Amino acid sequence: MDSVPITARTLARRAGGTAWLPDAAGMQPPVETGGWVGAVHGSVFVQYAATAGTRAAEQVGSVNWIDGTLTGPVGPGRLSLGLMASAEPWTLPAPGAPELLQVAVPDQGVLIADRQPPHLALMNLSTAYLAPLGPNLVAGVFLAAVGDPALGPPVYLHRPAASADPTLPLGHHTEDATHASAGVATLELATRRVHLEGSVFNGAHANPGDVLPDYSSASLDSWGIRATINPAMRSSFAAWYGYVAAGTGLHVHDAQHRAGISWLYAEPMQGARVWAASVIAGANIPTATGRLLPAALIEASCTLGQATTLFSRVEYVRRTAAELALIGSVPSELNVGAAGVGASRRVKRGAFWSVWLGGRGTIDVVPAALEPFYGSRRPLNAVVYLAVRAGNHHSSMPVGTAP
Amino acid sequence: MVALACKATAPGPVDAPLAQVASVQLIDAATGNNVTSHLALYPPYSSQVYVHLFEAGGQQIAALTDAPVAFGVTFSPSSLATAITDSVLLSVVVTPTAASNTPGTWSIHLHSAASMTDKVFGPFNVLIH
Repeated sequence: MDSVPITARTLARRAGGTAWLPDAAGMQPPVETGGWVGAVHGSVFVQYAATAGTRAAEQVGSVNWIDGTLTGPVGPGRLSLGLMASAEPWTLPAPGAPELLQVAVPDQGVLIADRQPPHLALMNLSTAYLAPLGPNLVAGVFLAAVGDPALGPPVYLHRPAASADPTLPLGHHTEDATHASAGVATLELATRRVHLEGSVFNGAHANPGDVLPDYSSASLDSWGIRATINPAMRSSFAAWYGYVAAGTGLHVHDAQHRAGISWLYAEPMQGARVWAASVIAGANIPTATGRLLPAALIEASCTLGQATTLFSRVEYVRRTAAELALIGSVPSELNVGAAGVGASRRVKRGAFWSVWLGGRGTIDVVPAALEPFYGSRRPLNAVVYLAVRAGNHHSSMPVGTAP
Repeated sequence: MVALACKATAPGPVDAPLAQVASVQLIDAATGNNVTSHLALYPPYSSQVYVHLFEAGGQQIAALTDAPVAFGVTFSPSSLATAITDSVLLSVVVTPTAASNTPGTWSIHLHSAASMTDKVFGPFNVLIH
């Protein structure tokens, strides 16, 4: 029987917002006593990213974030305060790092595709309160000025299998793009194995050049519901459904419904060979067309000897011509894919930090209609990086790796 | 860190012949909004739209080397709206002529007599509000 109080156990599984990770990869230490506990972790990837072919581009920049939580007893339950910040508005110049087939973003009056845009400086500013309703049942409320609603899998920044990979998944806008919504309210109910949540949130996205969220026209116009089951220490299954109001600004889209399922796997830190994996499938369904725009992702990592991580990600996405800024030039929907592999080697370590040297290569797969725009049916991307990763918990490193 | 950050390779404007135009983006002259995915028209008002040209690699084309080009638009249904085009500025003034809530599309036609090149882009969505 799990000796950790259910409130602490529920918080320990958090991935930024209220999404659950496998117990083996939780971001907060599961405390057995009632004291205040803090957890901080972060990553700074100083990277050179390049794309080849017709749309060749290159950039030196930094993908980075720091995430902190503080939890402690208040009344009968447990209070949690969360903060996640990034310096990307200054270190990842707009329109962002080159990455083929990424969704177009506005830049100097026109739409530019094939870039990984910078995050806002503030990605999570939230508080949550969980109160036990019994030894095996807890109810909670999560309120965020910026945060992750109950829609989608744990955001890629916190997924164990993606911890050594600084690139944005192609399916981000079908899976976890709402992770930094500017206004979220979530109610949740959890047992030791099952988590049920419902959120209302602001579906608007950031505007180009924004450093902080823009609340000038904010409203809780979107919603999501999610069910998660952690049947064992290493696995977490989730399913979600929701509605995202029409977006403006950085990621223009029509109003759409969103649905998906995920399985996350993570092995505990011990061991000479530690695996982590994510399998995610989902779809956007624009209300205007009712047509399914699916995406699927499989990512995996294996850490050897706590010093070398091998990682990969394979994706399929149905892109719209609008997402590629090619309306009127190509069919309205196109199937694209990507297969990437990478490796990361620890080159230095301290008590709560480590330095890694890594890289990733990706082969995209595009239909014939896109060949004139990308110069090939198999365009290439690459990124090499030096990463500083720090924290007092293992989600700041590749899974299974002590700093 | 800030000092390390370099600008992504800029897709700077270039001059090119019409044959190299691979895509267009439509920009509302009054607001600067990108209306490529959806042009909203509000009777009885007209809207001016600029047509921005791009090479396959994403570089914006500042000027066509085989200009002048004949610039035309077509609407579907044809009763959706009327247009007055400016072939030099590649702008078009669109005036709705259909009833409110009428959906439709429009297409952009470009022709260079010098290079005997024809290009058609669209359909682009239109809704009369």
